[in-house]
Amino acid sequence: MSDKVSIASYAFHGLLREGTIDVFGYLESAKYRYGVQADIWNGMLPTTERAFILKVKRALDERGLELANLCVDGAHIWEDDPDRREANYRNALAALDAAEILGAKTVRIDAGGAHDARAFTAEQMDLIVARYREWARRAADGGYRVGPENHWGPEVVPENMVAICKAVDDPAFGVLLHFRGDSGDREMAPWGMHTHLAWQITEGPLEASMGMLRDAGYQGYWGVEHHTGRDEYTEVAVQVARVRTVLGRWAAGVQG
Amino acid sequence: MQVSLMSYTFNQKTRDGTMDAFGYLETVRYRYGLRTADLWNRTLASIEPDYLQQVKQGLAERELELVNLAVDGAHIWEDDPAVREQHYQVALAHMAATEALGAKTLRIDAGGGREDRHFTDEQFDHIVMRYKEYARRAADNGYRVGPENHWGSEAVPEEIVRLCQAVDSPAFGVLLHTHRWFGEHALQGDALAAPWVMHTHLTMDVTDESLAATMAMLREADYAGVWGIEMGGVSYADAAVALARVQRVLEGWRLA
Repeated sequence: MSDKVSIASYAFHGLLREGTIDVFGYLESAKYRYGVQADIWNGMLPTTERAFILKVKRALDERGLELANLCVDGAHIWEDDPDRREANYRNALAALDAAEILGAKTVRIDAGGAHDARAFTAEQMDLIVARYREWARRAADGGYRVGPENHWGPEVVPENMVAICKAVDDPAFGVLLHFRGDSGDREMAPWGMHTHLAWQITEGPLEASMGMLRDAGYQGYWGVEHHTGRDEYTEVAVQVARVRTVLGRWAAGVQG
Repeated sequence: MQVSLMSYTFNQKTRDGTMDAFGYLETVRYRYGLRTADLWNRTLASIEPDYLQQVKQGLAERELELVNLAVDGAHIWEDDPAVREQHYQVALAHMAATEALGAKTLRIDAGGGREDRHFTDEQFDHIVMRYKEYARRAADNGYRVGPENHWGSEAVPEEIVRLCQAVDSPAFGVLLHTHRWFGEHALQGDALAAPWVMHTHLTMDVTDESLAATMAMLREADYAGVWGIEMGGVSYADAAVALARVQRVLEGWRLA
């Protein structure tokens, strides 16, 4: 397959939880079951120790897989408690080290704040922007992009994400656009570095969502993500097939 | 006829943590396009019922037939009666595992000293008694059980023939590891054991002509099982070569 489709390994979190998939089995599935590129959620990496990450890198290389994204939980920038903030910062740096070994094209590290908050304070915003600028410089040197995903806390408000994007203002910074099928998708589109296409999009406004991003100049991967934790192999197959249907229509010159 | 790739082939990957049983199933099904699984018991993390149920689901989800379970650590004869009894219990547990997984054949070795080339009367009587017991249970559950010409006296052709004649049950058979015999008639071992073969571990360290001749000999002896391949610690690419070599022989038969 030459299309730019990936499957976020979170899509198999149910299998991971029951112990019937690990990151190496996931890579085998990505390459040979689905013919897609790798897209690793760090919850599937039991450690970021160099020796283990090198094993994963060799497994990517052996399969000829690109790592479209490394999605990092537990490293979000803002925590009210300074100690937890610092611990997350260390986690973020370790994740960036791993991303560089793995050759990830993009890295998602969240902005943070309270899960139910819908705005950043000025103090939060200052630190978040400073960190993303720091990481964007590092990412530029490493040839990848880094940034948040619109998936919890104030990140889910498009205006907050746009404000971060404008403040960071670096081509090595970007947004992992988790499509919601609303006007917020378009607001964040100029900064899209990677995507999450969940079930409600692949079974809903898929072509319109993908077309909007394509028309905004997006060059990245179409990342399929699944959330139910059930029947994951087959449910993900449906989603991948839906995405490929759109890409096939585009390749055939059919515009959605 | 079908081909299988024994999981011991990837023992190095299992040891270094880059292939578990589920990754193996994904590999044989999707990387190699097989419809068979062929498990070494140490690829399994345990034989606890809950885990075996997951493996069974893993087989079913991939529409894989488990053509053999090869069990180490359950050989019948040990000089120490306590160890012998322990092995007997391990064997019974693996018969239960075989039945839970729906395996078509089960390999349990005869045992004795690793360098022995002849069963004593005491060993022979006990081994035959056990295989008769195992074969009755296997018959009741629709599979076959028996030794492999693997190590010790069971790797001497006359001893395997003697054993097969003494057990004398259609639910008993030999896992033939080709070209792996000791003693005066080592070169004739494959042919001497052929009438009782229930599964194979084809040795790939032979010429194409030798491989084809061995397979043809077995076919002439009415072998109707799966063409199982076993190597040790090889790369994915080397395993693919082995599969292609065996499939070339089968395709030659089809076209003849």
